[in-house]
Amino acid sequence: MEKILLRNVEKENSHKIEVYMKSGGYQSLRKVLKEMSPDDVIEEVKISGLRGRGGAGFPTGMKWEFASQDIKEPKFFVCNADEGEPCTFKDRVIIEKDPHAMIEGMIIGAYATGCRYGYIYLRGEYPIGKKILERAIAEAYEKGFLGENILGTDFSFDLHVHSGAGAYICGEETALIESLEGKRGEPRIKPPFPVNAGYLWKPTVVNNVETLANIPVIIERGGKWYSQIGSPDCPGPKLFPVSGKVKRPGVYELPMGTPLEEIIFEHAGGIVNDRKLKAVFPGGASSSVLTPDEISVPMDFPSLAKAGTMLGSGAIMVLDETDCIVKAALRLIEFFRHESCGKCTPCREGTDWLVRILRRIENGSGREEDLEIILSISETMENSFCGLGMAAHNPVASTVRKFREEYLNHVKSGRCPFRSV
Amino acid sequence: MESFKIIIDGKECEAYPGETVLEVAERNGIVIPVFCYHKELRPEGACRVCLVEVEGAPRLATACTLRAMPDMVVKTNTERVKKARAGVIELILNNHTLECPICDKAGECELQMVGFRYGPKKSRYREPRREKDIVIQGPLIEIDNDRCILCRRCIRMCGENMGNRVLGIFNRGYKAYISPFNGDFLEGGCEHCGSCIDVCPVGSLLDRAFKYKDRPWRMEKTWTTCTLCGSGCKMEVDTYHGKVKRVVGRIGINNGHNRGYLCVRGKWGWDIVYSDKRLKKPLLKKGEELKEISLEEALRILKEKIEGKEINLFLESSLTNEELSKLSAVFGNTNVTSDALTFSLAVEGIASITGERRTASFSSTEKSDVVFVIGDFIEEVNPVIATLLRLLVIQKGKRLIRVGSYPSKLDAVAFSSLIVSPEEVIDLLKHFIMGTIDLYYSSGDRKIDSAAKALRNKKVAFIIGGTTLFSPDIKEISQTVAYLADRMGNATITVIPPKANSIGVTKLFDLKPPEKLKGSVNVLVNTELERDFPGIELPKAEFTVVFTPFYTHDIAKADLVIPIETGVEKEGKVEGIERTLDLKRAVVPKYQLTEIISQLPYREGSREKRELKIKKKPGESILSGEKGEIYFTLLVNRTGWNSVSYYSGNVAKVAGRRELHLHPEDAKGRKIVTLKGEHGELPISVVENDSLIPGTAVLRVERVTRDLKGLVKFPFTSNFKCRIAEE
Ligand SMILES: Cc1cc2nc3c(=O)[nH]c(=O)nc-3n(C[C@H](O)[C@H](O)[C@H](O)COP(=O)(O)O)c2cc1C
Ligand code: SF4
Ligand code: SF4
Ligand code: SF4
Ligand code: SF4
Ligand code: FES
Repeated sequence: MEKILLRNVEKENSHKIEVYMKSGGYQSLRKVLKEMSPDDVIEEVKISGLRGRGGAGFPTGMKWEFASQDIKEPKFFVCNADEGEPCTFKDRVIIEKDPHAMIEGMIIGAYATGCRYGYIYLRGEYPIGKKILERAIAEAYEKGFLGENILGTDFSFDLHVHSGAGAYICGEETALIESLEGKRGEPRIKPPFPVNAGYLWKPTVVNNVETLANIPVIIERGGKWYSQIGSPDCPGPKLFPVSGKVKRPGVYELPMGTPLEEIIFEHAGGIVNDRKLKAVFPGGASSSVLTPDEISVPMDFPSLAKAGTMLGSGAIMVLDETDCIVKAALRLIEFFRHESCGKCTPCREGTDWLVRILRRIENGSGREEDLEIILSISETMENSFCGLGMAAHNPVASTVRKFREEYLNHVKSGRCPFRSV
Repeated sequence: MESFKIIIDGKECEAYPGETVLEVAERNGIVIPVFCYHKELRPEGACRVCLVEVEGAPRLATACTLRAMPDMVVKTNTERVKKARAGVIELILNNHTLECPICDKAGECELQMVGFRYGPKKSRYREPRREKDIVIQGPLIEIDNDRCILCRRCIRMCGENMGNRVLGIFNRGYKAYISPFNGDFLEGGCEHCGSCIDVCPVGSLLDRAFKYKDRPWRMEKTWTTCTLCGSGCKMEVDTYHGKVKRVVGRIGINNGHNRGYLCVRGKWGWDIVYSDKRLKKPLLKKGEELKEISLEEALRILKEKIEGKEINLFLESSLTNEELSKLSAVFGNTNVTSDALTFSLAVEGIASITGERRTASFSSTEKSDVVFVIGDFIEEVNPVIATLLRLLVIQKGKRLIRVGSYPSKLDAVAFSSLIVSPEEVIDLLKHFIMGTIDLYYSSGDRKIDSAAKALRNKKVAFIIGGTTLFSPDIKEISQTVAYLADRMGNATITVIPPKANSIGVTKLFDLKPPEKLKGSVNVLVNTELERDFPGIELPKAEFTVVFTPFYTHDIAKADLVIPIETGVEKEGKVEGIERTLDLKRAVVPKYQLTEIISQLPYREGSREKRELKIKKKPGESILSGEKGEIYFTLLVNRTGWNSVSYYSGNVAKVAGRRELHLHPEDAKGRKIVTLKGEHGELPISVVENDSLIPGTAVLRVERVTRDLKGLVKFPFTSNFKCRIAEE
């Protein structure tokens, strides 16, 4: 299949503006500024059917339309490059190998929505990415794609990189904005949504790196063309970072809706040592687990939601028969306990309680009642303030539901069956 | 505003745009449990205990953040809601200390109440309790983080409502805890207003002066008025067996104009009642010594000494109306001086335009669009009034314009702060007057023009207060403001009384400067000369009587000393910034001023009707600055106002410093300077303060002592001139 998002990454010096421009880079920006009105751009993105790749899958065209309709000034365009979820490393490829694609996407988005200033909120642990982005931005300024009166038009846009300080919660858009304002990274009450009251309470568009990298091609080849790739109600190419017990872990670009099974067994080469597949977390660390008989599911937002889990960032984590499901769930919930901002009760206290129970089970002092308690904590956590707490319990609750026997095995035998004695 | 209907638990409720479901429910008597919500605070949505079910919404919603929408159908009591709420409370209780038997909050703890009513009936928690063991102690406040439920009321209260940002969260997730900046209240800039303690739903934020002292349910509660300044805050004094245990403001419950907000003096100054400097018996001078005598004897001597004599009456103005009217009946009301003198000048200034010696009540601000403050350091003199002004902006969305000569805490929320040299204040006000005459008038200064524009066709509440009341220009400033208000129409003027009954004193007495007193017996009531009349010598007299609750320096000059009571021991009324305020006796005193005075013979009234000259023109500054001269303002720290930190052991713990704030241009790198006045000099350490304008200086003191005598002279202790000695 033709690579769209990863079309440049194999090229030498793909992060340099010359290389990017040689293969048609910044032509979309030129086209937008010379031939299209902001509304035309939004219309084109709406036609494409592009949905946000940050996790929530919100239609990008609609988000831009909301922002463009708000009359408050100035407006801000923020690229969410915080990529903090375990096993998610797809944005990194774009940041480091094709930074100009996302920058071009961002400038186009800013033009469409009327944003004057932009920030790339970059994961603190991406220092190389930071250098690359800063250099790329400098190159874009030099070529006149950023700054005042871009390409001689009335449109001006300034772009800066802002490094996070290592908090997963700062990937959540409102916490990101608080952090960008120099405050403690904690989510805000919604509504108002960032498109109306974001950075400095001004209209702010927040888009994921991968979302933005799609924009130049949509402009170049048209929304109609784009909408025909992959699943009809959730089209486009998608980056799938695959990790865990597969033979070829890595980032794969495939059309939305590619079956999970195909990704694991064809693209990622199947399970190491040809062991048996045990479980898959199909959409990042906070998605509900899928068992081997559920992996025919097409990888897109609606299909996974129907399967009781979610696409999230698209990060696929594969466990084989030698992995302990309790330990896997424990690891994940430990991450969320560590990353919970502590603002709301269910997440702050629920993650801690879950860790404590799972540790006990894993160490052999679990009780059968613990499983019911886990499920009820999970229910309470549904009422968390933000997406972190609302989803953090998923890996635990779903494994308790689908791998109950294995949990009970821990409880009954008083030890973890996977641990060598 | 157009109201609409929503349905909560089957009941049709009226709702207004912008209201939350919780607010509508509360107004309609439907109880929804809360932790992080507080009426006075911005909603946070953090605790998740106020969950409700909304028809058509898949998830439960938090009532405290959910805006009511037309035709919304809400249920607060379904099984689903009950379970979710109990789940949240369970999570809070799991690691809670539950040391209620030794917790000061027990009995009025919201976790106890909500937990009992809505919580799970049984604990399922089998893990060892997670202990944070982080206790942070300040001089008056303590945070016991193991009791904290992280509702963040304290953070919002301190940061947003008080504008102090002392408190914050350290760490993240389950390790999060509350602490002042750097773990230190004083370093964090805590003003010790006590508001954080007041809103803490549990026993985490504690009043250290009350810690382990008593139990909420057995104390007697007396609602009275704090008389330690002119804010006149309503407060609850809790006593047990006639002894004061603590004072609480009860923010959100208190129905006084202060809505429960207090300052350090009101919250912690109650222990002046038990000061070791309290006077226990009347004293009579015999030779060089003062001897204790009985009250009967004291009264007998007093009667004899004052008979037929003209009295020089020195009044401190936090006395009650009852006390004042008796004093005026016995000692006369024309040969009188008081620390309310400059306040009365302000009132005269206004009256010279309006024809009425009257100032509007503070609630006039509520009805205004713009609050126009002319005053410096209101946050020190009348801290709670400053808080209320701040809240008018952040809660009610009023515009605040401030004119003054020094920086103020209020500037942070002001639409416009116009800070000019003291002699330019009146000229500045005149630009606004010109703006009312000529719509196209321009002052030549964009800042002034934009402020003037913000006043146009608006209801304006003018507020005069703070140290501006002690400027030599005060009468002229008030007259100018009154002229401006008169021209604008639709405007009110409020002068903030510096002391609890400045208004009452001004109404009842014809005040004179002390030099004009011509009697032969001095009677000092509740005053301390150095504090209330700095730089003034007691007039020569045959006999001097001092009525005071404390051993003051004036006792040395007295022939007879009679003890009296302090604020919380009084029953009576004062004329407050918001109408007449009630004092209810929380503690029974041994000596009562009204009782003592009642036993003295009344005099014939001699007061003539004070005439009023109506001028109908703005004032003119009487200040004249020469190049290189500096204007000084004597600023008594908030803690030291009314000598509170001198008599209160609590407040002494957080007393401020004595230091001279100079603009770097004026400080010229000096760390210590000597101030030279007409009759004295004072070496003092310098703080460089670049938020001042050059040519102004603030002499901050905790207590006005003798050594200031040669520099400062009553009544104009602000914007006076003195020299900095060249080394
Ligand atoms: C806990 C949490 C973490 C998140 N982390 C990220 C992230 O690292 N990167 C990202 O793009 N979106 C992240 N999101 C989603 C963002 O809130 C937001 O929906 C997204 O950036 C919007 O961009 P999109 O419309 O392009 O997807 C996170 C959401 C939550 C609740
Ligand atoms: S769910 Fe609550 S505690 Fe968790 S990250 Fe979101 S706001 Fe913070
Ligand atoms: S805070 Fe409340 S529940 Fe906790 S120990 Fe104190 S009284 Fe008991
Ligand atoms: S006492 Fe007042 S200033 Fe001090 S921390 Fe509490 S709210 Fe803030
Ligand atoms: S100290 Fe009190 S008010 Fe502050 S967060 Fe904790 S429980 Fe809430
Ligand atoms: S009271 Fe509503 S979330 Fe705390």
